Amino acid sequence: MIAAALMLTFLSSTLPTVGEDLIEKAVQPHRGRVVVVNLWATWCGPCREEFPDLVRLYRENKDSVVLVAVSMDEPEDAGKAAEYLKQYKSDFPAYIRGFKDFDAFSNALDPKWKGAIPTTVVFDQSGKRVFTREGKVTYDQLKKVIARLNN
Amino acid sequence: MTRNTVGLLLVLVACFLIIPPQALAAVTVGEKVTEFSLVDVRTGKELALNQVTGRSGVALIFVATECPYSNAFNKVMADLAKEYRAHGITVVGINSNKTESADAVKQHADTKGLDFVVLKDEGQVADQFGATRTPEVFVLDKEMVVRYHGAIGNSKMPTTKPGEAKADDLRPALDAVAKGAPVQVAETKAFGCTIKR
Repeated sequence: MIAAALMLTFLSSTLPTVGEDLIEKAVQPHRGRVVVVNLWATWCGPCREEFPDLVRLYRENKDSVVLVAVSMDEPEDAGKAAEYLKQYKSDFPAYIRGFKDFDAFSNALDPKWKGAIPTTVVFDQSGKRVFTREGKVTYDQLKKVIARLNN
Repeated sequence: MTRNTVGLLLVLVACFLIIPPQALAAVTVGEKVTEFSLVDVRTGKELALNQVTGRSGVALIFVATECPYSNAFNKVMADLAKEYRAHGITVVGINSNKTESADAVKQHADTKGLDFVVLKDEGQVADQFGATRTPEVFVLDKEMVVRYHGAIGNSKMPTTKPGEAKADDLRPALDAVAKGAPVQVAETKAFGCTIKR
């Protein structure tokens, strides 16, 4: 499924959707690795500012970490979002919002999430949510979380 | 000073260092808020909360100039301001983004038809309320007690499309506050852009 998602991203300049099924679809398949879910949008300045750091962390820790980018752009802007991700070679799973009920989606992400983007949520190797940051996250903050989980 | 007192002081200092200011200060539904003053971007004059509150209450809406989720609701907010004036509730915009100047906020308010008072905050009021995103609403009654907190509308399906934006979450709260009745759904989840502190 992940391979299919990657192929879709790469080939057709569009993105698969994710919604209430966030955990089953985007977190659980990576059991055994730390999963960093990042909510972003093409129009979101702080999201674009932090994104290179997220990609860098992912690339430095590919064996133990997976980055899951979830675009909160409108579904019809999937092309725009995919275009943005192309500069990062799209070598991590990427989705666009496709929920039917925002509450259900946000509860899946983190029931305590207040609703601002950017937001970054880290799940440990067993799929347990261990870190949530609303607003820009720094490379060092995330690196610490990842180091702790990998030890 | 005894050793215990010093210890207690150290613990207190540590608490302040660890807990972010907004977590300390966030207001909750049912709580009375303390008075504040902010500059009206159109007149440059300071206005106190009680000066911008209607006879029944006020809807304080944290807004931004560049956030599509905030901008989608520009007309909705202006329509609410017009409609609820007659019911004694004012709509007041607060821009707390450090990245946006009072001039830029004024220009945005004028060109986007935000026909209600828009105040510029340097973050202290956002901290006082624990506001984190735009758009995010706090409805206060005439006693300055928070009666509603959350989205303007579309909380089940957030939108950046002005044509789809509606006030389905906020309107029942405003109707209740106008009548002095309890608000049935006092909290909804507001989705939007981070307030840039």
